Formats: sequence, C-alpha cells, structure tokens
Amino acid sequence: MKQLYAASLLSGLVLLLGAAAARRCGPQTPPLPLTTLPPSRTGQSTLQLATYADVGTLDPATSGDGLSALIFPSIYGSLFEIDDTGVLTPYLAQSYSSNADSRVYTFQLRPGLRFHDGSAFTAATFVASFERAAGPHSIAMSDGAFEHVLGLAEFRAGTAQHIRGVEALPSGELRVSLTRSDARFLSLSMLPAMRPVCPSAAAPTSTEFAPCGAGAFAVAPGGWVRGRELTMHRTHAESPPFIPNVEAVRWQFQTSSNTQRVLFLRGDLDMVGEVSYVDDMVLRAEPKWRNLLQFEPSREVYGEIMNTRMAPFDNVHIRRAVSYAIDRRKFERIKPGSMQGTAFPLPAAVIEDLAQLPCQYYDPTEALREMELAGYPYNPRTGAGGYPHTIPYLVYAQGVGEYSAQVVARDLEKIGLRVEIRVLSYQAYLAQAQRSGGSAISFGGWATDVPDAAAFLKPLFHSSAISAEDSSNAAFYANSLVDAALDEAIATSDAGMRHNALARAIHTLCEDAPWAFTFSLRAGIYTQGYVRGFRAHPATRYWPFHTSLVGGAP
Amino acid sequence: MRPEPLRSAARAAGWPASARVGAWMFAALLLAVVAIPILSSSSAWDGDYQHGQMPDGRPIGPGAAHFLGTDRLLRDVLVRLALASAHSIELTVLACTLTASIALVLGCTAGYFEGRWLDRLMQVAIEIALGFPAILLLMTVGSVVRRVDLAGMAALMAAVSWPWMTVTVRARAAEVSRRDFIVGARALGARDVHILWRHLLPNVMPLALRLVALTVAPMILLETALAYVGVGCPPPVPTLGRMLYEGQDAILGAPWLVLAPALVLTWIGVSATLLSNALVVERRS
Repeated sequence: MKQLYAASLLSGLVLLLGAAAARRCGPQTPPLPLTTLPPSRTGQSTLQLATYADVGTLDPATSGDGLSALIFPSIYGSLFEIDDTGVLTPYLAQSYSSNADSRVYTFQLRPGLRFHDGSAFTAATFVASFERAAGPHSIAMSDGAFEHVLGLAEFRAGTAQHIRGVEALPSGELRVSLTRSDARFLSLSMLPAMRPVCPSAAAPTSTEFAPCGAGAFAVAPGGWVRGRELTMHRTHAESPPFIPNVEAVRWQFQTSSNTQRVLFLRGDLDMVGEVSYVDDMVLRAEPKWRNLLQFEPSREVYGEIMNTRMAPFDNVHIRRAVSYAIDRRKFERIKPGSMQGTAFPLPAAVIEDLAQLPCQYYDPTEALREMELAGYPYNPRTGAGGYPHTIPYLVYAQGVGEYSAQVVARDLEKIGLRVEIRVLSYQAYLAQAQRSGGSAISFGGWATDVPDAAAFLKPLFHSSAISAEDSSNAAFYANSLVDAALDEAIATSDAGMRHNALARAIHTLCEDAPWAFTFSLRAGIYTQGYVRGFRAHPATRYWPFHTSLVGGAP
Repeated sequence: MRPEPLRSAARAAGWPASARVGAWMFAALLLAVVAIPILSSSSAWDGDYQHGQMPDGRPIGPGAAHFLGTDRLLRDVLVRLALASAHSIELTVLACTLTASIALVLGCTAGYFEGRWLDRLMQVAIEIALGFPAILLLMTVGSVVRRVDLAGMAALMAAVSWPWMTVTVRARAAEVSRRDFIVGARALGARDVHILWRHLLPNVMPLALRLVALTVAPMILLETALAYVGVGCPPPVPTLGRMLYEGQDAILGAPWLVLAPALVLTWIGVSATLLSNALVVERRS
C-alpha cells in the first residue's frame, strides 16, 4: 500500500517536473558559458544587450531579418534616421530637396564623413553601395520598395550597367529620380539597401564580407562571432539622439528570455526587452524592477483577418458583426500595460494625426443587427439561429493568438458565430492563412518597418498586395477606393491631402472590416538603475535612445 | 451516493482496504466534477474581467473569489479543472471500452484458432503494432487529421493500446480453448461463433475487466500527454494536458496553474490504480 502511494506520488512529481521542463527541451542554443561573461557591468561604458534571435548576416544587401535592421543604424547609418519624437532627421545627409511632384530627390551629404575603412563617404560611394545592394544576388530589393527608382528594373535585368535614377552629381550631391511620385521616399532611406557599405566591402555573395559602414559604431575584426555575439565600438564622439551615448555596444544572440532575465538580475545585461510572460511576472513582482519598467510605443496591430472571398466573410454584414462583437476592453484586463485593446488599423508608432478618426467599436446590439442583415438572425437568450456552420479559426502555436482567440471565440459565440480554434505550427499557419482560399478567418498581426501610415496599410489592404500564395493582404480584400486613397497618400507631399487620403482609406477599411482590429502589444523594457536617459524608440523595437551608463559616457 | 451503502458494498464485495480508499477517492472526484460547475458562480469560459490581472502581472491567485485562482485569461481554474476532469474520465472510459472490445474480438478469435493462419496473421499484426512508438504515431495522426473530437480521440488512443491487451487476451483464450468443455462442444458440432460467444467469451471476460481496470491510469496519462502536445479538443475546451501546457509558462509566478491540474491528474491516477486492486485481489482470492 505504502509502495503504491509512494509510486503514485513519485509519478505525479515526475509528471509535474516533466511538464515544466518539456517545453524547454526543444533545440535551443545553450547559454554562453559563464566564464566568458564579463564581470558586473555597473559603471562601465559598454552597453550590454541580448536577444533570442540571431543575426543571419550583417550585409545590408542580403539581410531580411528584423534584428539586423535594428543593428544597421549603428554600423551603417543612413541618409535619414528617426529621432526620438518619430520625425525623420538628417544623419548621413545634411539636407535634401525634392521637386514639386516628389519624383526627384537631391541630397546634400554631410562633409568630412569617413567610412570605418578610412575612405571618404561621398555621393559616388553611395551610388556604388546602392548598386551593390541592387545586384542579382541581393534580397534587399525583394520587397519591391524601390521598384519605382528610375532604371532599377533595367539594372537588375542586366540590360543597364548603372541605375539611371541614382547618380552622383558633379557638385557632390546625390540625386535619386523616381518613375512616380513618392512622398515617403525619405522613410525608405532607412531600409537596408540604402545604408551605405564601405567601398572595400566584399561582394554580397562572398564569405569574406565583414561589416563596415559610415555609422557611429564600427565592428572590429573578430567583433562578430556568428550565432554568439557582436561587439561594436564608437568611432566618433558625436552622439545624435538615435545613437546610445556609450563607448561600445555588445549584443548577445540566441539568448532565451529566461537566460536574459537571469543575466539581467546578475547585472550582466543593462536592459532586457524580450521578456516572456513568466519573466515579466518574476520581474514585476519586485517593486525595484517594476519601477524601472518602460513600455515601447506599440508598433503592431493584431486582429481577426477575415477572408473576404470565403463564406461567410464574403458578406460584409458578417464582417461588421465580428468587428462589433469583440469587447476589446477585456484584453486590457488580461495584461494591463502591454496589451491594449484597439479598434483602429494603425499602431501608436504610426498613428500620425489620425487617432481621432472613428473606427470599429464594441456594440453587441449592433452586432446582432448586422447578423440579421446578413441573413443569420440570432437570439442570444435561446441560442437559436446564427450561422449554421462551425468556422475554423487558424492561430499559431505558442503565440499570443492562441490565447486571444479564446476570448474572441467566446464573443463571437454570443452573436451566433461558432468558431473552432485550430492551433497550427507557425509555418503551417503562414502557408494556410496567406493562401487564397486557405482560411476563412485567422488571427494575424502586422508590425511597422518605417513610421508611415500608408506604408503600414498598403501591404495589408491594397489589392496589389494580393497573391495566390504568401499574400500579405491575407483578407484578399480589394476595394478601388482604398487602393486610390493609399496610392494618393503615398504620392502626395501635401500634408493636408495626405491626411484626407489616409482618412478616406481608414474610413472605408473600418466600414468594410476585412479585419476586426482587436489589440496591440507594447514590449516592456526593464533597465538597470544606472542606465540613464533611456527612451524607447518610437518606431524600431528595443533600441535604446539617449542611453548612457553612469560614468560610462565618452 | 451516500457513504454507508458505498462502504457496505465495498466490504460485502470483499474489497481490500486500498481498493476501498480508491473507491472513496474516485467517488469524491466524481462528486466534485458534477457539483463544482453547478455550484460555482465563476465561469470556465469567461474571464473575471471585473477584477483583472493583479498589479504584479500575475493572474488572480487562489482566494475567496477563486478558490484555485484564475488562469492567464482570468478564467476560474477550479471550474475548468472540474470540466477537464470530466472530459478526461469520459474519454478514458470511452477509450478503455473501445480497447477492450478490440482486444476481446481479436484476442478470442486468435486464441480460439491458435496456430492457424488467422492466428499467425494476427500475431504479425500485433507485433507490427507494438513496434510503433505510440506517442509519435498519435501526434502524427493528430496533426494530419485536423479535427479530433471525443470519439476520434478515443479511437486514436485505442489504436495504440489494443495490441498489448490483445496479446494477454489471446493467451487466455488459447488456454481456455484447450479445455475439455470447448473441445467437447467442438466434437458435438457446435459452430465456432456459438463457442466463441457462449463458452469462450464468458471465461475471458473477467481477465479483460481486470486489464481494463489496469489501463485506466495509463490511458488518462496518455490523454493528458496528447492534449499537452496539442492533439485533442481545441481550446478553449479545458483538458488537463492543455491546462498544464498553458500553465507551464507561468510556473514561477503562478504555480497553481500547473500544480492544480498535476494534482488532479495524480488523484485520478492513484484512485484508478487503487480501485483496480479490487479486481486483481478478487482474482487472487
């Protein structure tokens, strides 16, 4: 009898420990050996950061991941960067001018700037770098952001030796000519393809490539250990607001959230910005850390993507019913601070002056009325009526959607829409949710690359973003009014016209409801007490503005 | 169920003390599973949005409002546990019944025709089935078959559990088939189906029941393991495995999210194992 009890208790304990440990048994990179870690960091001037990701390449021509985009400003710089108020500020450029229809941009470059290899930064070196990034092996142009640069297509096709639209003028200025108006072109200058690399840089396909640019931080030989860490040292004393005011920055890659928390609590990291649910819980439990928590502005919008070509969401009334049925306040109760209910298509980082525009809202009565208009009246008291079929709702495993979907499913049930949550692996989810006819409704989110409302909305809702596979317009939504308004907002340089065009697009999107916009997430960043001046970047994730360490400023 | 009749019935049946403890534990669990969802004012499906998350970032902890606290979506853990337990018990009963049925049909047939081609064919099939890693097979099937409901899950679990039970049943059936009364029935010209149904099955049934009793605990563990890896009823349907999965990320800050389902799982396993002693000891006596 005793043996039975003991065996049962032991098996329960094993199961409990197994449950806790099993999720950690996947292929993870072991944390750095403790012996290689530096001593306690207080008072030093190397900013220590870590991330769970790994930077695949530091070559702007072949980079496509989000992490490299975060590191590039330090190494390469760009003509313009975003300052701490979200405004584009000249950096490698001194000033610029454009013609009336925003087709020709002329940049005056900052004089006296040098690359890390000692060569001078000039318009000619910029042109060479851009042509390098536009080469056949490059993926920097694959998203089509520069398709309207004059002569780029011919250059990429191999029928032209140079890109006609990007030229170094005898005056030392740089001129970029476009085939159509684009008022947001300055924002594009922050994309990797327009971050100049040293003239001595190896070809994009070469394994000899070493990061070298004109930015404020240089990577010394051996400073980048692939899959492990990157150390950058300051090259000049100037400290614009978007560059941390420290002598060096060290990134540790492939460091899990748990490890980051442990390193942070030991003082081996100066800040952590990728805090998991449990790590956040542990840190917030201590008032010391709670008081040092800052939230980044939201860069993402999450919601329910309704396929406008599939039943029942090909019926606009059903889509509107969904947008009315979701009580977004619940999300704020579930995770105050980081989770914010939103019924607007733009996140805080790119909301511009459009926040006052009305959009979707919670109104169960209106939701039931829309269900009736759709031909599926539902009586919430008796549970009679509603849409007669169960609708599969796709989410991916281990994401926030796995949880938010459960809240949404309950709200939809109350208006007679029964969804069945299907949890897929991320790859399977992407393949199905972004395929034409793949999914009627799915959880989705979108994050901004550049702080531009039109650039944010176009991949999601412009008909040109529809494709049979990997469609970024996963709602397969096509509306000529929205297309025209977004095109106009992108083309015009007139602030009033741009505002009106965006307002028209947003109004139509809110009415047509290809998405039910549901919530946004704000990443929480914990800093050590000695970190001074930290301000979260208004557009880029987890990048420390203004940061200096006590006693560490150059 | 009142205690006295239960105690009297258990004693009258000659159950050992351990089996009686198991019966008590199981009865208490069943009572809780039925009563908690009815009596509780909290919902297993909707969160307690009125209170919201605690200031330190944790879900609502155990207390007066929620006896076992809430999960990260602020849903009452106790009520969800009751529903998850009911789900587990229901599924286990279904899977055990299905497994026993398969084992009885195949085992009795193979044992009755011992040494003949049908028996040899079944033994090959059993050996192949025993060679498959069960969890891997279930995960593969579960991920290919998109929708797995209660009956589907029971079928999946039975699909990996029948071989070993069939082996035991077959051995018993072969042994019984060699006895005089079966040989006599054959000599008198009774049809095989008649012999199997009227003579063989009643003699194999007690063994099958004992095997079922011993299968309950592993079946519950199997169901939990499958739900943990995402095979089974989709969220928000509460299952013990899913509760463990959802709670593990919060184990340091909100340990009740893992401890509560783990303890219930242990409770069910222990009670089922103790209860099975009744049948095993009865056999020995």
